[in-house]
Amino acid sequence: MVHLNNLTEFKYTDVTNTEFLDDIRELSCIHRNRVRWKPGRETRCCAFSSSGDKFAWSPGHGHVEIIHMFTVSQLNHGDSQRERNSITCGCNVTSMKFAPPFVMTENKFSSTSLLATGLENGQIKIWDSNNGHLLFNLSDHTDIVRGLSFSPCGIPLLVSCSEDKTIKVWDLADDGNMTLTVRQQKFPVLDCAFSPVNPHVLASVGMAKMVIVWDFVHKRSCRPARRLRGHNNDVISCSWSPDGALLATASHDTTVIIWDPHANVQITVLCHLYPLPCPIYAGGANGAWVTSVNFSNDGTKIATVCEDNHVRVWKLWNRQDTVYVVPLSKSGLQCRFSPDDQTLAISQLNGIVTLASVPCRKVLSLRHLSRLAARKAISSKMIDLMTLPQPIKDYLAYRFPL
Amino acid sequence: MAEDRQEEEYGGCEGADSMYVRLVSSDGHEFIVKRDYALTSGTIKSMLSGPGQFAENETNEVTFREIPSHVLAKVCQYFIYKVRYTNSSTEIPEFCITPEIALELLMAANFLDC
Repeated sequence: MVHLNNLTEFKYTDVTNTEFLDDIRELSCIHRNRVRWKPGRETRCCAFSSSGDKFAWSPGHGHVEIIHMFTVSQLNHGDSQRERNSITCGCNVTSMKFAPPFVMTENKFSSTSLLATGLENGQIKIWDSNNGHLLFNLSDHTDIVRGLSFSPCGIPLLVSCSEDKTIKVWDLADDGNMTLTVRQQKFPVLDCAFSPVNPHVLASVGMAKMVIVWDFVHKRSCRPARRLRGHNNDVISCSWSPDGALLATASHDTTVIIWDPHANVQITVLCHLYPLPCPIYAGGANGAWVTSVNFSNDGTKIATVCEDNHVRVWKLWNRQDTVYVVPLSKSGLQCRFSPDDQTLAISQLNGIVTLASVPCRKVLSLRHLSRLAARKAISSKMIDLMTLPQPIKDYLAYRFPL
Repeated sequence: MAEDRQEEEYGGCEGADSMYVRLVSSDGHEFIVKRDYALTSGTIKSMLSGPGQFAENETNEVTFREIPSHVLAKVCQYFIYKVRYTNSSTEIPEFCITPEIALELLMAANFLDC
């Protein structure tokens, strides 16, 4: 792990402990016995529902499987009777997301069973995951839909980003009508995410080193607030910390950078190639592309998927810096933590989803819990204006050294 | 007589090995908690049982001049949460902190080292 105190100084922390996670279970279905890989069979995406009871993944060729999900150890005991739904989308699924709870007055379904799937031909289909009915078919994108994000705080908006260089906002309370198209990027947009506490902050990442934080005023107006510069290659995936204070972005330049997006500062950099590659090497094919990053729901861990067939779980605020590693047989594409942080789901190139049980679910320190609660209400700019002792301000702003 | 029986059942606040300690907030509210729970905090632990002659060691009472009672109450709830769920295989629930007290709680937690 590299700590950047100011942007010119590098300090390497030796990762001394790497433990291999061994409580692993694989979920695969229709292609179980076929060894040869064919295009279209990748599991590009997977998603947990907001309460953790359902898990959806796409085993390729346009199918989506949903199971009612518990911990990995419970899965090992006879899961054939576990309730499984299967949905056929008609086209390869490239992104999916479960909806958080929000209020929709006219419709009769509960929003927590909504599953939005983005397809390769640009359509977005929203299904009811309990019975597999198609509820909305949103088609306006002209290229692969790469990212989906629901607005937090109960507002029924869906934002989608696509390789056709646009971000579109859909209003689900208004029968899925599209309310806004943002065309300001010049390159394909690869992921987008709303901040989990503030419905006015949206982050999008894309090709050509692009990381933009938008000021999402309302559903018809969205302006770029600032651009975070620091990556050397395409940025593939982004993830917010649960208090909305940090943004982690994964890029093909072998690094994951954790930013404070409001103050435009890099907090720390997680490197997957030692030593850190020079910009020319980082800008091309270097064998260690990081394809996905996901914060855990308690804000202490980050999971990253790298092209060298390893998934690493980094513990962020702990000086021992233990990294848990899950070796994979084929390269992984996306990783997701379950809402209770017990399970890590990794979707892979050969249509298999690997579920790893994450150890060390501990009681967090009161300092960390208070910081999470305080940062949901306090933004970075306000911290410097408050009259607090400097070490407390540094701790609140996630400034190193912690 | 009833008082005597109550003391036998519950243990007291006095003496070197008392079961309970007294934590006093800045506005005079006294919290009496079990000694084991209070020892979650590194600061309280060193005050009550460290080497040297802290006055708190004698009276088993710690006064916090900067921590108000609404924050100290939450800290005591955290002690119980921590002791209950450390090394426990049951699912750990969320510890709720309202945003109004979060900042003062952070400063108290920083002082108490817990």
